[in-house]
Amino acid sequence: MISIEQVSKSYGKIQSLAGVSATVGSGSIFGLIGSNGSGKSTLLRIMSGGMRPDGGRVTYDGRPVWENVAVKDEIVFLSDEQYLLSGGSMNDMQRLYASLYTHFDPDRYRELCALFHLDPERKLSTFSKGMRKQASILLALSCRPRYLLCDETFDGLDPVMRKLVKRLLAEEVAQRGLTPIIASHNLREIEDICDHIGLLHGGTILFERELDDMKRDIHTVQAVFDRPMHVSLFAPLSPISFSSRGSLCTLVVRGREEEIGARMEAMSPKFYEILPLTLEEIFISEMEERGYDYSKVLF
Amino acid sequence: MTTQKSFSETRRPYFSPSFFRGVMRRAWPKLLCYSLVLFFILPLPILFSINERRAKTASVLIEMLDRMLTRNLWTYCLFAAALGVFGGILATRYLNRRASVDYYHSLPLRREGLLITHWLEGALHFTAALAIDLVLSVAVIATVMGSGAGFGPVLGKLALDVGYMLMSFLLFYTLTVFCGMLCGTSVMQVVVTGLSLGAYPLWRLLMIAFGEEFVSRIDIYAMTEGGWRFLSPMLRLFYLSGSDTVYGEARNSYLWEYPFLWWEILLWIAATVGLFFAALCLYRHRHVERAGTPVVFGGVAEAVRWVVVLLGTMGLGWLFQALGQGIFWLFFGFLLGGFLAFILVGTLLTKNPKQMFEGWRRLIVCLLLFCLLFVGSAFAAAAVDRWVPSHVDRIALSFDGESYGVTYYEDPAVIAAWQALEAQSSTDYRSMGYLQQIVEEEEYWEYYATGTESLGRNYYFNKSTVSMRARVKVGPLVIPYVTRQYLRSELEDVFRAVTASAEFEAGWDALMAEVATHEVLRHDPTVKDTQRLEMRPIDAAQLSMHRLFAEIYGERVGMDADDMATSDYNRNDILAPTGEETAEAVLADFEDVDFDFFQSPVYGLMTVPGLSRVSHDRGMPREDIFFLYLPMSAPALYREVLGLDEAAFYEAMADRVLAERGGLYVAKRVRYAFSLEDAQVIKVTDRGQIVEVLRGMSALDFGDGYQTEPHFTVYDEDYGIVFPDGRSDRVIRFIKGKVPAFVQATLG
Repeated sequence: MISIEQVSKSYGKIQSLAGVSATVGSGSIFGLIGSNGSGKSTLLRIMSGGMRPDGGRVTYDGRPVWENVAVKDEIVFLSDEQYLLSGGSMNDMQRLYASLYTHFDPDRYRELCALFHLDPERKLSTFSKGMRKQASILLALSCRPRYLLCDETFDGLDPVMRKLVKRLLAEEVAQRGLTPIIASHNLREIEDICDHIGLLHGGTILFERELDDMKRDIHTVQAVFDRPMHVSLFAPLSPISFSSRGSLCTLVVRGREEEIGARMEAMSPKFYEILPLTLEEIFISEMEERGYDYSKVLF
Repeated sequence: MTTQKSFSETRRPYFSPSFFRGVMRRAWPKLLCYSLVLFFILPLPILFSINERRAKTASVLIEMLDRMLTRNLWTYCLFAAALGVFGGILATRYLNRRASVDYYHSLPLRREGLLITHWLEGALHFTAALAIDLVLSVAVIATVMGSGAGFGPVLGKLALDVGYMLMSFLLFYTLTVFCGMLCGTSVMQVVVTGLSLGAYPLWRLLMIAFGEEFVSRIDIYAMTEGGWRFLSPMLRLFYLSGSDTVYGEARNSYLWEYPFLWWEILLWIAATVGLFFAALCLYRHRHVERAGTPVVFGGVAEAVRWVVVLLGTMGLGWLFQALGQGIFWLFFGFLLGGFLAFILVGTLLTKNPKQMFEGWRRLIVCLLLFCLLFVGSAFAAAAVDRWVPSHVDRIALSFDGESYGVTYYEDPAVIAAWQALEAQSSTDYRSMGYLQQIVEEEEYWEYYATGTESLGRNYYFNKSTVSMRARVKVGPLVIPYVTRQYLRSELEDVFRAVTASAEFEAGWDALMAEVATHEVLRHDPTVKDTQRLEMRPIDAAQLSMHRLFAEIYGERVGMDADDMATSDYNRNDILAPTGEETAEAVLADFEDVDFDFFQSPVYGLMTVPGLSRVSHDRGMPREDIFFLYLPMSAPALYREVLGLDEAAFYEAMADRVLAERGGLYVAKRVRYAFSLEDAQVIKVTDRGQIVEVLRGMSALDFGDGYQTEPHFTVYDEDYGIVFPDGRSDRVIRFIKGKVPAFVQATLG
């Protein structure tokens, strides 16, 4: 289990993280989402043990990660910018990893090389961006880590490779209990693979929950009334957002589907339906609720 | 889990050999780069030189190599230092790129391990490159010259040079790595390294430049004197190079052979080790690993900013003052220099030109304060320069530029006498440079005329070696000393007070004992061979003398005083008032002799007995002084200046040689002959033949030690004289064409 306790970090005058706390259970796939500059990469760096927080700490099964070689031996951090040894090949990297990571599996390495169709003797400098990403992922998985920290890992991969990587991660989770933490802006990718979500904004975790729970707890309601409806009439539902076009009203509200249904019935609409939100919609809603201009967020 | 943890922790996280091997393998281009650079400074010049002089004899080549390795040492060290800075930047480059910093720091390896690995990789690659070039150099020398006599010493000198190069590299390399720990960009690393190496020397230069520009009597060097020069390794290398005009004293060429004192070597090694551990400590405490942060520690960034601003302010102020010669230009330079330095360093520190003016209010305050401080200091300096300081707590007497130490007097009578003297002195005496030359000649020749008969304390009244300094405090800056040199007549009252004081008895006798000890040590063969550095004070004293005379006579011969003082031949300047005419006569006398020696330092060859005594006879027992320079190459000089009969002189000399040594040993290839058996030797016992030998010699060195290496060493025929004890440095070479016929016939 990863425990993030009141972690804070500043870069000069810029506060990147302000008392972030979260818990990631072993064997879950944790998606870390957040707006640009929310501190996702910084949090991952601190979680990787490569950066020292100004305050708080990150522990793995109760062991602090900072300068702890034993813990770092169980973690592989895939940064959003791949660093591959200049002038080296995959085999050079493999030798390096094998010398540093206790659980490095050469058979798995060869197997993954074949799976990704990458030539292990080819110079890494001749690899394309996507190939470099693949090389990083396969080397990381060959280390047999218990925790895999991925920062925008799916960027630059073609759809086939994305699918392959997702499948591999799922297998590792199922077979070995790997705990991937995936930071991304691509919420659809996150939604596909993650079972836990943490939303980071303004240097703090806004929420951290299971994805299914989250979806169960927030809905879109579309309703048609035979009379003009003002937002104040929906006060009992405490809508996060509200819009109306003619007789059609659209609301995003929190709560269980049954509770929302009962309240809607009480308002006697001509028609209404309760729909689950996509992760993207949840993200936008949450951010909107905190005054974030979602129109500037890129997906 | 527990098993896994303990297993991991036993994997020596501070250093991973396999990781190190991987890093070494990938950095081979660095080895190539180092080797190539070193190739052009070590084996290649040797090859060219040997090739150029291939026709020469082996001993000549060896001597030439010996000289080359000695003279080029500072160049080697500077190259090594530059490579050290380059290597240091490469070693910490991984901290300056976002991808690599994330990558390396997430590996299961401690930060200490990362730094040790990268540091070691750079150090080993340089060492390997150095070893390669050393082997190449040795191979070149051995191939051309074989491995006969003399090969060993040259090899030793080569190894010594390589050792110094490694020492220089490691210090500069580690310093750059240390600076890398403070910075997150290569540009700022270069800036901070540059500042740590050059800020102090630059500040010192600027202080001296300002001092020399505005004041004549304040001893500006006293503000920056002493061991502070070792604060900067760059300054030390300049000092080593012999161009230490900052320190104000040219180096004795004798010291070329021992550019570093043992404690300096220890200091450099300690500094390297200290910097390395400091770098480790900093690395562990770096909180900001986001690559691209110019300076990781905020306090350091501020220090860098204001040091650059200070240097920029002073530098441009001085430049504008030098160009414009006016107060307006001086202050304009201050303001412009401060402003430009501020926006430059602001841009570098923020990496954003839009933020270059951040903190401008503080800049204005600092510039105003600086200008006020400068004005205050200028007034203070002017006051000291023009008027007698109001408060004096002690005065100091120094001799020969403090080579023999400084004695301080706090006796009120002494101070009162000094102040009275100051009060009555006229401004005419304040231009010391002018005064010194005028008075010096009179005083010196007066002394010379009386010979060495009146040795003793009175000698120290001689103006040429006495100066008085007073410690005063004036204005916002502490001006440590005011220095003046005095006419002998001026000093008499003060010296009476001095000699009457109790301080004199205590201090003076101790000083004399120290001088005498040095002088005795100087002639001790064991000390001479094993602890030659003990001779530095004496060498410095002699150098001061030669420098003084070089200044006087340098003008006559059209040579710069520094050139004279640092030339190979500075030890033998003519002291005669008629030197110029004499030199012309000597040139005519040696018109048929063709060697480089006569090309520019015409007067260097000639030596007058007495000069050496002047610098050695002070209060010392006469029997301790055992050397005599014989100007046999300049019979005209003897006739005209000294009034001696040349033939009689040779004969007297021959008698002395027979009496003291039982004869002369004449040999070939003597310098690197470690015993008489190694050289072709004939012993000359016939008085007439000895005279003939002496006539054929340009100069005769009786093994004083100061002139152990005669200048004429690059001639085709390497004939020489050795003395019965067989010591290789007691060798006199013959000038080409002056080897007596019977010697040539015997030795071939």
